[in-house]
Amino acid sequence: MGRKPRTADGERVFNRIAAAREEQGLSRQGFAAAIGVHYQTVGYLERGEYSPSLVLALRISRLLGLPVEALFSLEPLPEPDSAERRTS
Amino acid sequence: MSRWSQATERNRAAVAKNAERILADTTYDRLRSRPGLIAMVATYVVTTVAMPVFWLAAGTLAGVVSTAAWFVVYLFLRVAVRSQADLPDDVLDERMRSERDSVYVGAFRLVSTVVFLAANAAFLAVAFGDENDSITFDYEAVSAIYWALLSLLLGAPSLILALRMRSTDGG
Repeated sequence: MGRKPRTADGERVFNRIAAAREEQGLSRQGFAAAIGVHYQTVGYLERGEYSPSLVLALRISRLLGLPVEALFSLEPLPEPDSAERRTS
Repeated sequence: MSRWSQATERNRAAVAKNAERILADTTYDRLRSRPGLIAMVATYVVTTVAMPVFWLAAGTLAGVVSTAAWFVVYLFLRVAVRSQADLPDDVLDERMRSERDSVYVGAFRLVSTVVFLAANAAFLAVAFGDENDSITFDYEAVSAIYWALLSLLLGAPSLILALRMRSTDGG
């Protein structure tokens, strides 16, 4: 689990969960409880060492109010832009 | 609801409650740091190797004491990895389930390699050893084999997990 997740083609999966979570003012513990995972799993997700299932990715996306493609990408992601934020 | 279903339900609730406590535990986080996990793995390997040696070379009393020491180390190893290898699906999140499942592949490889090497060493010792040397399966010899195998089988998943886990501090 300590390896960076890669696609079948060997591409790295990037995410900006940490930045988006901090922008929302959520602690790791609170974020973990809200998406139904252990707090250590949040660390793995934020470091890009674990790629979530589609269900978990959608839960994260809903909680952070960002589309999935704004949170996960095969290219390095820029810092979250509040203009991109959806109104939920 | 039948008595059997009630008992199953009670057991499931008890496991879930215990799992919740283990997964939220921070008392033993020092064991879960990277140096702590490496130390636990090293101590477990040492006690697993030492235990059969004590049974064979120092007699029953020393064997029992070394087995008790191994058991204490085994309990601490389980605490260090939050018993993740033994918890059921419904109390683990998707990463932990996937990690637990892949740990059993590593554990199988570890156990099969050790058993393969030990069996071959025993075979070669019998095939090419001194014919006057006899192998006696007395209580101590059987205990040494039994506890060494048990230690390997019970500890392998937690050992692999400990080697793969990141420090709690970094998690």
